[in-house]
Amino acid sequence: MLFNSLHFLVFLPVVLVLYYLLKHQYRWVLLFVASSYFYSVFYPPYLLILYAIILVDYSAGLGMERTTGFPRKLILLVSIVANIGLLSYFKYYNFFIDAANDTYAALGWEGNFKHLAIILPIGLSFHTFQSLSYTIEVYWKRQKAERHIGYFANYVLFFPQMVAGPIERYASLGEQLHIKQVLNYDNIANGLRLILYGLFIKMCVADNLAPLANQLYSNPGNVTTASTWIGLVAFAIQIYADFYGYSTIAIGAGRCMGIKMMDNFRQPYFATGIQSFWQRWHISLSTWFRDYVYIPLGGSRVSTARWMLNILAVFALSGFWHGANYTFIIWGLAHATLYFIEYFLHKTPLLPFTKTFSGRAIGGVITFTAVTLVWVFFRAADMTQAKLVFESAFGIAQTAEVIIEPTLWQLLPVAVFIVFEALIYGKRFEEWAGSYSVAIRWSTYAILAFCIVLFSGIQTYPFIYFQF
Amino acid sequence: MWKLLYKLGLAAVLLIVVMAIANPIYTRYFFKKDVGEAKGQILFDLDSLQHVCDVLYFGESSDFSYLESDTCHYSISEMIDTLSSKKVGRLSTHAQHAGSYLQLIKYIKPDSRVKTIVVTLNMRSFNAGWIYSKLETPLMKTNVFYQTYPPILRRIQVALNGYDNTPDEFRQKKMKWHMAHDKINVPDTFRYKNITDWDFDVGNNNAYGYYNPDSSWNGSKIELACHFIKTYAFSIDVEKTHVLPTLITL
Repeated sequence: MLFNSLHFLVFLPVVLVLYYLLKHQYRWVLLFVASSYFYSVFYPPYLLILYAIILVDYSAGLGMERTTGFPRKLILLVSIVANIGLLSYFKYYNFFIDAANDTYAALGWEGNFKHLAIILPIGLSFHTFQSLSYTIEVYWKRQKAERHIGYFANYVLFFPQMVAGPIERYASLGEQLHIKQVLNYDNIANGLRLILYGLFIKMCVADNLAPLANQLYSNPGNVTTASTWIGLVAFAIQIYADFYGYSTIAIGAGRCMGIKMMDNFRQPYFATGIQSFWQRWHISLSTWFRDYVYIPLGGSRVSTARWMLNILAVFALSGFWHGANYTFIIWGLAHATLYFIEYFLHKTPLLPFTKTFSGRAIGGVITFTAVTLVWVFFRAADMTQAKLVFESAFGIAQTAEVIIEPTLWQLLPVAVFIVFEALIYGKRFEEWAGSYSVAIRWSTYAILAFCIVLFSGIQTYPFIYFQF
Repeated sequence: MWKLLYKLGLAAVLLIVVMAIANPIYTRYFFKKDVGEAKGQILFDLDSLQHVCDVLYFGESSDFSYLESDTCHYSISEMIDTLSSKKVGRLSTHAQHAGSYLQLIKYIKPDSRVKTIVVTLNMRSFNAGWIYSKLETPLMKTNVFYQTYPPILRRIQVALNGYDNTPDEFRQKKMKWHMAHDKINVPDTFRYKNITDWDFDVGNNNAYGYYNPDSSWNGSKIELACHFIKTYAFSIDVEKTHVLPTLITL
């Protein structure tokens, strides 16, 4: 089910009313049914995959708690293989087939492995990573195994965040599901504020910018330089607004039930450096990779060369997590390169400069420009398309016939969004709104509602991160 | 609890006020553009034609198609207009189906000049290949703009995906499922019980001769086997599926 749908706007209130009417001990049943229904709207048979993940990891948690030594390791391995195996089959099978065929061709052999007609279950990368974090935590004895399969199922299935995060840890989400939540005005008010703001970001900002970005990528190498930059910036803001909007609605929906989820974004485009950008962008995934890949590899407590290798590994894996395409891996590696450049620049006399206001401002512009350019690898269908877009961006394309012209109605909501983001800097929307007088607060709601009613895009653009 | 209900009530009032303010602005400046983008221009054509025409012709692709070799290149509606004494208004759009027209007909006012309405039904209304085609998503969206409630509500409905916008890959899956499972009423002696059986055999066993004796492709037979029989013969009317063997023999 899409968040920006009438279906959801009916579904959520119904679930909330039933949730607060039911006794705490029955709520897990409601959440399980509601979450299953929420997911089944996309494609019912794929619920079975989620149930399989739940069953495997629930059993693995219990098994690990009762064993030690090699059997314990073996159970963890089974859980990892099951989760990554499912992900590999649905997401990476055809990619590996292509890679095998390419390798065979390069060796002069005839590789004729066939593609499978597989549809990636929506949000599979999110479920598997969330569920895996549980088994790893149980293995490390930092988390007690959940005994109630219903609660564990709800941890994996919790509908507000099941398809695109935030990727929560059991210690946070799982434990909160056990707590008896009472109907609380602040929770509902804050949750609804977040949902309103999230809908505005998705429907008015992301969906209005999507056609501009699409125009650039559907005419690669044939767009004027100025228009290419319009398209590039449009995509940079679109992907942020799309994912940030989704996360904000997810956090809001959870909050309405008294569940607090982690922030996934903290104004990443106001970051003054790449390191800072990654502390603000898709935080739940970054911290997942930090905790379960980077630190186990030795983190930064190793030689510089080894540290660089660790960083490269994390970024490459992060890129590959996003999609089964070389472009995503290159996107990850490009970020690693920027990360290294910044790291070594900080070791030079430039460091004091970056502590001044003007230095930070320049740093912010450079970071935004670099991130915007690197998004090309993320958005392009293949390296050829990426190359053509870069050629257009730097004015060396063979042709330049297409002009991208944003309308005032596309730009107005973006301007409103940027103003809001500057105003709420360092806070979440609901905290910011809640700190003002009734008049300002309700005027804000009116502005957001007016924008949604009048300026939301009428083309359907599914949440970009659903495909991951 | 009461505070919450009071605030929710206030929010509902705010929303109604916002929509009441936005509706005239939207209707005046944006509605036409949105409807045009959704390929629903006939909504406005209908507004003007219903006061000057005796007959309204709601057609689909059949009202655009003709063969180059045809001596007359008039569309059906143009032909009716030319041959009859009545003034015919053409409201045809490619890939439309009866569901859309049903909605549009509600726009015909009692004081209009229209006395006759012609609605053509194409195969989209009958078989899985069309019912679950990806074209259905934009049609469903356009249909929302054809509703009779205030334009701003129609816009919100579209923006909030308040129509069947099943992703293409899932439509494909549904279509294939129906092609494999929809029962057809054919004689027991007939080898094929559904479209999938037919498709498989034609594709793999070359049962109905893709090739001419000189090994060249037989375009007419391929068209007959892969397009007309597969798309239509299995679906049109269960009572008439006995035409299949006859068609094959052809």
